[in-house]
Amino acid sequence: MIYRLPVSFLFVLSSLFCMGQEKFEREFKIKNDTIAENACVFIYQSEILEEKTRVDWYKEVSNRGTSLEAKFKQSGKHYSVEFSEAGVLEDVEIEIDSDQISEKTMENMEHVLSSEFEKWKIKRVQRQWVGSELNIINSFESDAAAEGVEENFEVIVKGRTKEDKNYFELLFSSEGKLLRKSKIIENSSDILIY
Amino acid sequence: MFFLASAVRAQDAYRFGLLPVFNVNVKLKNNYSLNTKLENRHIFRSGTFNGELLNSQYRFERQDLAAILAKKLSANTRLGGGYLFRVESERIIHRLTQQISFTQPLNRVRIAHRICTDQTWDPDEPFELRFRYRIGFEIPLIGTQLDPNEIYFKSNFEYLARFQDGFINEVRALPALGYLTINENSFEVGLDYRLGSIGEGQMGHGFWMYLGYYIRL
Repeated sequence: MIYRLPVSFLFVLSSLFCMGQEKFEREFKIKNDTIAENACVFIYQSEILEEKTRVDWYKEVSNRGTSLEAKFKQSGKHYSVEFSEAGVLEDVEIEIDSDQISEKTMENMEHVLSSEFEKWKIKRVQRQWVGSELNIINSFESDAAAEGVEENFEVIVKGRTKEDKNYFELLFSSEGKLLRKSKIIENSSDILIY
Repeated sequence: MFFLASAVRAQDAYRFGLLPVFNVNVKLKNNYSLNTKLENRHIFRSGTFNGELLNSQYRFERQDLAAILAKKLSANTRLGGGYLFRVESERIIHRLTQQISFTQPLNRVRIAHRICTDQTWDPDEPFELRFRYRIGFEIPLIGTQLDPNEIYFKSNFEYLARFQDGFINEVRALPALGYLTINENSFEVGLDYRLGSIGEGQMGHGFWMYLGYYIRL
């Protein structure tokens, strides 16, 4: 407990330096033959896929740039592998339950969330792996972040601040330090309500 | 279809027509929004399924103008209240509405629940009170999220408990195909089906070709 307080304080303090921004994202389904070769080779020839896994490819345009995304489901898990437009591997995201995050990391994340929001609820968690192609392939094989792979957690939160009530996307390090926070711009729900 | 076939009886009445809806949603300050709706109904054909009382003459039935002011209570909850002005057969009808809605964004589908009460004053009818529950979903036909220049499918199912002299049940279903334009307005085409009691054991079926246009400001 003695060491936890200053550590938590540091996490809260560090979160103040993560500038908030809006996350605007558009996604377009694309055909296999329009995808950069490097990305195709990684997905189909690195043996990360199980025999019957079907891959859907998307072009994602957001305020962070344009990327290619390969989405698939295997062994009951949703995977999203992101590449630059030129086909350079950027990261892998795997949907997980929040109870798969270590207790210590979760505790730090909760401290940050409580300082960022008056009220919050975690709606979705993704494990994020960032690393070289070889290390990512090793991570797929071992089903855990291999050596040389940076593991982060991307969390979608339903949050309330003094000014805003919205969904937010937060990226935490494996220790629970806030790396990025952005407000999610959703499509209007008027077609469902009125 | 099975539900519809089993629900239809020869003496039941039907109406077939067009239901264009023009909807404008304006975001205001402090988490408020204003939704205004212009809706009218055109009847092309009406009668009973056994062929009696057939009327195939076109009739403009009614014109609605409605506005609902809503306040965002949380990321997915809105509380609203509004007023509807209706002109029907030279009568002017007034309705007050109170509603709460919840949206659930899931992986690919978006679901919305709406609980609503309304009170209607019609000069030719007794006062009417209605309780309504509606569930709807929207699913993009391309990709995992709806983006501009994409087509989506939406469907609403609604139950209405109507109190006017007696108690009447009504159900509604609206399956529709929609298109989100580049400037993020929506155009929808669908079938609005309504089934309710019209007295003496007779049911009324409404088949409305629905055309919706949503503008966001």
